[in-house]
Amino acid sequence: MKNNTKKQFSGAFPSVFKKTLKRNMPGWTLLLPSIVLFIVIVWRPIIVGVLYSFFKLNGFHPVGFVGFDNFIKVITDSNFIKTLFNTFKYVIWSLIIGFPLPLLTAVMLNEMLAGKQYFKISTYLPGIIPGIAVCLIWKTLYGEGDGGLLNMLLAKLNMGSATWLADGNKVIPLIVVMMSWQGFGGTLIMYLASLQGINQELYEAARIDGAGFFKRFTHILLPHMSGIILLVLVRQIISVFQVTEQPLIMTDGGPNGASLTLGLTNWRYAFKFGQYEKSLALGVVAFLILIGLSIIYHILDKKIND
Amino acid sequence: MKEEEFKMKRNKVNGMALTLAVVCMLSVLSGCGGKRGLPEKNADGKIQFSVGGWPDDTNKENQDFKNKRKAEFEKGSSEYSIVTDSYIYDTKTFTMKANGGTLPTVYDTWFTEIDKIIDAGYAADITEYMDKYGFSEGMNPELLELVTKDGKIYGIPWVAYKMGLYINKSIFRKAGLVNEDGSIKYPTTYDELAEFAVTVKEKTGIPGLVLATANNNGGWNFMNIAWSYGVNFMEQDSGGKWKATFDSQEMRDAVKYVYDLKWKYNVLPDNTVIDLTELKKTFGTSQAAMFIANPPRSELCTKFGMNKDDMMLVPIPAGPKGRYAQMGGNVRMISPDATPAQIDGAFKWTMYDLISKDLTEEQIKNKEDTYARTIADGGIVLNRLAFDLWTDPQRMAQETEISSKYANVDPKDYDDYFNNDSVTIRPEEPVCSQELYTVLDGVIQEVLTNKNVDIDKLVTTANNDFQANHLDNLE
Repeated sequence: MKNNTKKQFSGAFPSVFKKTLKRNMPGWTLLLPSIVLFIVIVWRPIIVGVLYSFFKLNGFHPVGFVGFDNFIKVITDSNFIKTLFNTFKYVIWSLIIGFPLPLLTAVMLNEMLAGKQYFKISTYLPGIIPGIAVCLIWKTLYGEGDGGLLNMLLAKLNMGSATWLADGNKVIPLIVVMMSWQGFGGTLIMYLASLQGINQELYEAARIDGAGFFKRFTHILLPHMSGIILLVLVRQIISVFQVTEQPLIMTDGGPNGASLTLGLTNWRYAFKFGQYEKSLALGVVAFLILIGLSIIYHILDKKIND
Repeated sequence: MKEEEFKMKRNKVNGMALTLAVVCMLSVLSGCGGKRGLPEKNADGKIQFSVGGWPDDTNKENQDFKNKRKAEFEKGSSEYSIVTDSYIYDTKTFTMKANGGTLPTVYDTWFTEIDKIIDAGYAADITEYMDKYGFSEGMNPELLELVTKDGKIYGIPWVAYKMGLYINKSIFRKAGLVNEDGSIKYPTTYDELAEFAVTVKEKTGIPGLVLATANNNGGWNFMNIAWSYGVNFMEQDSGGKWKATFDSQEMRDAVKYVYDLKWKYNVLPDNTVIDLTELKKTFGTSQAAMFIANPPRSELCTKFGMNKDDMMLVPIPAGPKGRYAQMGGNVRMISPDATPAQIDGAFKWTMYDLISKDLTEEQIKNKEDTYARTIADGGIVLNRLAFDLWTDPQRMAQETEISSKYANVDPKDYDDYFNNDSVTIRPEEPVCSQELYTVLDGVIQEVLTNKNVDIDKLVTTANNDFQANHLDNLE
């Protein structure tokens, strides 16, 4: 009986495959390049990365299975908790500084009758400046002593010089301000696109009924935009959680690790110390944390939609 | 109807899964195999090897110069063909290239990278060729030791140096730090260094000293101070385990010295994120009067516009426990994928172009060409090599004779650096040196940004972190 089932299955599978292929040949052909690219560029490295995190590596060659040793090493590193905490600090500051502003600006732009295009373009401009250039511009802005641009401004206002990136308490919010400035335009465009999807009749009707800006915002805009707001929120959490190049260029994780993130620690393991197995293990840890956050997002999303 | 829909759905899923599986397999297989390194012979039957660090199209003049030299070599040694490769050693890309088998046959790196490369198996054992061509016998044993592991030699050191203290003479003159005979006064101890820096700051408003703080350069710079204060960073016990040993009074004193430079004497720049580029920029653009570095530092002139005659290099200052200067330099290595014939060719090219035990007329001419080019580019040529590469005094005298003809700076500005016998030269710490520098970067950053820092606690934490996060992970 078992053998028969096997034969049936082995005979049926290729014919089913052939049929499916024949039926949708153009579709499959169109999909093929994307599937190949996804496999080579995304899925294979992820799978290989996860696999290798359980091995001792010589360069990129696995030389022995070590179980969870690499994970234990990165998690018990005396800087791990501090670094994880720092990374969440980036996320929280980005939600405080970078999250509400584009939303409010988008709503204001949507209400504007003239100059909308100008503001749209000018707010998007920082987004097209290369990341490294943005870091260098803001590094000059935050320069310490009399040579820093912000300190020059303070001097014009007859105020003393302030400490910027050298202050361990200020360094993360200051980097987040820069990141928000750069990402502002992209988020704004997403909100504006969503706003333009609102039925204008609803809006007009509300106006005729005497609804003011606040009422229109809470009763029409907010319910309509809840989906995109959640999407932006989760995208922002995920991207800020991976922050690496900004602290690398601006502070090298300093002062004394005050702006060090999981991403930068990962970079250090790989490119400074050549400890690729630890880098991969930390990558998996970060991946799991992000999966956890994404699950929370989906639960929230489901609740809101229900 | 429902069953049919279900079947269709199942078929689609099966089809998709199968396609994915096939492509995945192909992709995995495509990652396997493949040739490593350059084939030994080219289409003309000549032995070929690639040489890294070749000037690319953005540096046309240098490229033409090297191409001419290549053509001359290939003419004289017609069995060889050189393949040029613009790859320059970079910690971020090296492992990828080495693993992918795409390293140039010949590549140059720094002393700090030697152990890592040898341990990972990314350099060929060249003992046979070092013996054959006289390097093992004639080269300074201190340098050979750096490239030797378990009795095998893996590299050719071709530039070496010890750290010294660079002084901006122009700023020193403005600060009145001049002897009666017009020569520049310079500090000989770290305490004097602080005093001189204070004078410079008071008289000119320019920071007296710039220290590196970031990207491992802070730790690297600090080693010279710490050793001179008597710090012992690590020890190996009888069981072979390494122990961090810098939770000591000596370390506290060395860290306190850096703290005082900032908070007591206020002689450091305001910027506290200083990597090697920023360090050179700060000194090269006369925004600081002194910094710890190695010669000849041509880039201070070519990149930052500093006048070469404004520079002076003096011995590293002495601390309470001695006068220690870190050793550094460049080393040539050969890809482990190279065949014996390619290694032999790479050696012949290296001896023609870069370094050899005995100097032929041709090699002397090549050296002279290189010095002339350095001068034409606005760089610096000293009247001697920064470090004795060879044990034979006559061989070193030959080097001095050639470089003296092209020296374009006053030898007096470098004589004390070269002739001070009280300097003890130290190589890097034996294990986890890069990791140690990262830990020390953090210590330096903390004392320069936190006036209320608890140095006792900071040093203890750094020592324990280094032990737990790095030394305990060694096998």
